[in-house]
Amino acid sequence: MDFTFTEEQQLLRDSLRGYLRSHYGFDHRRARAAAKAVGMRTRGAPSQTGSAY
Amino acid sequence: MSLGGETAPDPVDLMVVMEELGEALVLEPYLETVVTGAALLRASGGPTADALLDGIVAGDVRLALGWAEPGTRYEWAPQETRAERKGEEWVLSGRKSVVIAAPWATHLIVSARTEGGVSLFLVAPDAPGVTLFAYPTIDGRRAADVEFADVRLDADALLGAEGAALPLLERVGDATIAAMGAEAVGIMRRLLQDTIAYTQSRQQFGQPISNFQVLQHRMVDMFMQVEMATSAVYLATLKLDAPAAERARAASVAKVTVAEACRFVGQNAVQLHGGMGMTDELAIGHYFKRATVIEGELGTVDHHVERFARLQPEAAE
Repeated sequence: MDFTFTEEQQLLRDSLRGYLRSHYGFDHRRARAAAKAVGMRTRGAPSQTGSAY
Repeated sequence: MSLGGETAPDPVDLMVVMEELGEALVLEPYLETVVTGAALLRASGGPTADALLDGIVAGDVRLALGWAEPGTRYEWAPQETRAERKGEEWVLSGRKSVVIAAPWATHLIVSARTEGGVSLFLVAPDAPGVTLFAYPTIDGRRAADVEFADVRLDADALLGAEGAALPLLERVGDATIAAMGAEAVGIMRRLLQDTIAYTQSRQQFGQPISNFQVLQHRMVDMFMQVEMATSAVYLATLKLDAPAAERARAASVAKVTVAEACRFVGQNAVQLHGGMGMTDELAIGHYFKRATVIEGELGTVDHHVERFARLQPEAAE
């Protein structure tokens, strides 16, 4: 079996990792996990709605 | 970029993405929407499914699959939830437990018994007769128990052919196990990395505790668990297009290996952090909680050991 990733897959990994490091830090994640209003559906993607869920 | 037809994401691409989402401990329902939900829609086909697949790419659609029921344990076949054809419409009744990401979802995909077998339906979470009992799960996500009281659905709410959903659920379930395993690998890498860093900085008896051989041995065992889980996830991912029994065996092997690794790596990461491992302020406890949920999600170790045994090919004569 071939376990090497393609150049494209490596790029995908690096760019996603970079994005998450700059946009999805631990404090951000904690705030979202602790957000109240459990069960309230949001409009739009969760990433655009701050702590509204 | 699309999630449908020939441009469907490659399972290895999804594995790469899931690993990174795991390492960052992302809460958003990517697994439920882009892995599970999109695969069900793609297999079902039709204009409704195509529109939703486009909606996922646009960021407007989030999905949750309601499959488990109080009496079904980890089997995919629904018992209590039924849909009956009434003229042009379907009438859905029953209930689903622990529908992960349901409170976040724009659309629910619900399995139900119909005259011809097991079928899938697309249900709006705010449709009359649908009740969500939502709650947070220990890993910071959201789930709901969902009740359906004579919910009237249009004819096009039926996804795919009537009565044909059971093998599809099995297949997509295995793809979900593989992707969730990749998430777990990302989580465990981070647990191990943080534990090594912590033991190198924490001083006791005038030296960093990472100097103690007992702790070094423990961290080597954690490393081995992560590597075994990684290999099992690779195998399950590469077997997703194999014949059903072969694919399912690889998925069950991955689920068991990942679950055992999650428990070992998670618990030892907390243990080696001492009291710090229990605090809400440090990331380690949050990674541990997600790892603990993954351990039981989509079937426990016992369930998958049993499934693996059931699927063993007959010994050669």
